[in-house]
Amino acid sequence: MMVRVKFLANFRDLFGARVMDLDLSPDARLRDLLGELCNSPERRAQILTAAGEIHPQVVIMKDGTPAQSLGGLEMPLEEGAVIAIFPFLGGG
Amino acid sequence: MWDKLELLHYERQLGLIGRRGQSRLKRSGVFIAGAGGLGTAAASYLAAAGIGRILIVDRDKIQVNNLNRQVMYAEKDAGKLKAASLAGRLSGLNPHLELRGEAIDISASDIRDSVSTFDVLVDALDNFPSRYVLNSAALAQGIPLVHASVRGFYGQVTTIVPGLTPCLKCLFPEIPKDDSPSVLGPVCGVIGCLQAMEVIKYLLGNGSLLMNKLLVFDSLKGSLDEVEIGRRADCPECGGR
Repeated sequence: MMVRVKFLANFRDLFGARVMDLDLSPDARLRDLLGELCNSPERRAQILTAAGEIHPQVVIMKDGTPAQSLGGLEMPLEEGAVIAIFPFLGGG
Repeated sequence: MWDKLELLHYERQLGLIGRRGQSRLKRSGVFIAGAGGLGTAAASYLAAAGIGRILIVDRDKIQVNNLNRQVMYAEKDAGKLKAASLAGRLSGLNPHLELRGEAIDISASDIRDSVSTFDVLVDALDNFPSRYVLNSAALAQGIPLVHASVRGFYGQVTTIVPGLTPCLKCLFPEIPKDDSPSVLGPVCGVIGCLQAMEVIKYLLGNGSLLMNKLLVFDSLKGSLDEVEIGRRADCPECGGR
């Protein structure tokens, strides 16, 4: 199953790409996707906490819906899904 | 209706929006929540453009460490209330408006009635608990809300139209504990100006709004990218309606 990942802001440099197409198993979940992506200590530290949860300063959306409301790391993925990864911006 | 000096003030935009558009801006009211980095930029350009009635709300006082990004204040203003100071400053920029500043703590207030007479709300706040209050008020009154936020070298903007777009809780259901994030002044300026432009487009009915998309600005790359966003049927705030 093909899934597209869009990286924005600082994550573009971290992953060295604006867009990445990944071929995942049909039953893959967000946890599997991040496992593929976070293949270095630096990437892992910026995306996940030490406990292995999604870092609170990272926003991950699937087709425009936040991963938190779709099961977090257990969020199922579908063929053609678009995942956006960008920083949480809270200031003003 | 128009005096000579007022028309002269708008001379360089009348060719774009006409007297009809200028009249529409003059008849409009905008509620600006926050007089910080985003609010000073958005309010300045909305006042300059001739929005007839502007209410700026902020509970804070000016601090010297605000001044890298809040460029409408001066060091000698430290300790003064931001909302009143900004309204006063902008009254000089454009004296043909009704401009007010109020020191209200949005996170601790029921602002649904306060916003009801305005055409657009501007989220120029610096924290999400207050943003959620503003989001609720926008939904309750059915008033568009132009959201923006910044951190570091980055900023984001989207226009929330109740019933047509996701609300803020659809997009950001949980928020991290945020300290005082670092931010560069020009990032606030760019994003605050994008907010002002969203307001003007909405009031004039021109162009297309940032509805159902989140615009993300990367100042280091000089890039603007869009993330498609959608309503959530299980949103505790709007229920996807």
